[in-house]
Amino acid sequence: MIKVKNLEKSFGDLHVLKDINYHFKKGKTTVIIGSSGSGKSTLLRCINMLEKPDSGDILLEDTLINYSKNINAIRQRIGMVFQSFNLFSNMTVLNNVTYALRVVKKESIAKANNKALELLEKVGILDKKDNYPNTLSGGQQQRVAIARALAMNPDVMLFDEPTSALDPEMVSEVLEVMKKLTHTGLTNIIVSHEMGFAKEVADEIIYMDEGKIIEHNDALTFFNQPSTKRAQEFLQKIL
Amino acid sequence: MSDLFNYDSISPWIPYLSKGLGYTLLIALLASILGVAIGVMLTLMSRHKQLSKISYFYIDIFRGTPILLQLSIIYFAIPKLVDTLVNDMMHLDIAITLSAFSAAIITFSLNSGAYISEIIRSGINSVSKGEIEAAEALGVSKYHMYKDIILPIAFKNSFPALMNEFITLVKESSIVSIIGLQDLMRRQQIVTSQTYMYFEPLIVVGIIYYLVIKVLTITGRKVEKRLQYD
Ligand SMILES: Nc1ncnc2c1ncn2[C@@H]1O[C@H](COP(=O)(O)OP(=O)(O)OP(=O)(O)O)[C@@H](O)[C@H]1O
Ligand SMILES: [Mg+2]
Repeated sequence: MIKVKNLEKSFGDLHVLKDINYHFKKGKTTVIIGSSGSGKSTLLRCINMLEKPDSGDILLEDTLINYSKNINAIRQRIGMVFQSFNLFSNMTVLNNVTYALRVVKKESIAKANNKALELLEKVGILDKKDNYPNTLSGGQQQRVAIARALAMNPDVMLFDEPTSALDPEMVSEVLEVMKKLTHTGLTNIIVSHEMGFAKEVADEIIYMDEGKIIEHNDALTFFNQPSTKRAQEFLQKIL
Repeated sequence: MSDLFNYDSISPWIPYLSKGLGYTLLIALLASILGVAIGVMLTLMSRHKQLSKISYFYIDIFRGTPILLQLSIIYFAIPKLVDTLVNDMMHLDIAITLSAFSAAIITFSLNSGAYISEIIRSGINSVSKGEIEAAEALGVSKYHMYKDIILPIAFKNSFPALMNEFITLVKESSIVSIIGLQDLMRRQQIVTSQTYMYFEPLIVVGIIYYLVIKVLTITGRKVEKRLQYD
């Protein structure tokens, strides 16, 4: 679904992504783990061009993703959920979900509303549809953010530590929603520190360190017998 | 009491004094409308490589000199300068005049434009980077991003500062009395020169200013509350 080839990215002198190559397979859920500063967010953000790669190619199916006029067409097919939710603070929950449907996909208000209400129901927050984001808890905001991204009917969903900013008691409500998105045909790429969750939902695990993919493996193998020493050490530290 | 504040002598003058409020508010209103237009233009210019220098220079000059000086230059010096250029140097005979009212509107618009552009700029900067990225990630165009997200949030965030600028204009417009416009302050001077009363007309004018600004402040706070998203 998404092929990353020879991806390089630096911020000034800081070499953040070093020759990243990976094929995120269609319909699979890939969880990216690794210590802080290893480049996980940057990799995710290069996929939808929130960060501009220095070199290398990223393909969505057969379309080259680059920062040109067609970037908005590509972004419609790639949903993103952020650590800090990033809901539009000047719009109600319902409008947050319908906004891109109306202005990007040019759908009618009625059609957009129907789709949004269905999704809000799915993420369990229909009763808050007329609220503004700042009146919701973090967990509620994140579920709205997931609905907002899903509304565009994306092929790929990117999650950048979607539960890291949440109070512990709200983590599970968001993870529950995310679980429902696996094995639905959607390609999920998730950066997460929730190892239990990763074990449960991941088809593939990528372990990154210092801007490189140190190991990628199917989840079972990765957690039971990681093939690299550095992944072993990392797992020992956090489990 | 009547020695200190002679109400009976001043009361016939109160309607005359109050009429000055018309000029005061008209100047503040027109200047803030034109000031917003100039401010938006300066803000747009400041996002451009070359034009940003002009915008920076403009703002620097207008914020770095007193408005009384700006008004004097525009009302007294510039017409004289144009007159010299046109009539003396080109041997013509064209009457060059600028009415006091036009000079006041031009000065206050240009001046508040500089302040308002700073307000708009910080309003735009106050919009969270995350919200903009969320819109980008959804494939929203720059145009829609500005129209539906950045500018509405920027406006809400800068409303108190804009209201403050309007109140400043109401107060500072009092200097137009030096070029003879019959605003509140000028009328006080006229009443004083005709009646030899100082205290009473000043107090009446002071109360009018105070009440108007109080009403503006309270209204501003109400609007500010209405603008909150919750
Ligand atoms: N816009 C930027 N400008 C400069 N440096 C940046 C920028 N974004 C990230 N970095 C740096 O790049 C490195 C990798 O950052 P990145 O956010 O990709 O790490 P991460 O693996 O997501 O870490 P975390 O687990 O803390 O989120 C870090 O050292 C970070 O400070
Ligand atoms: Mg990160």
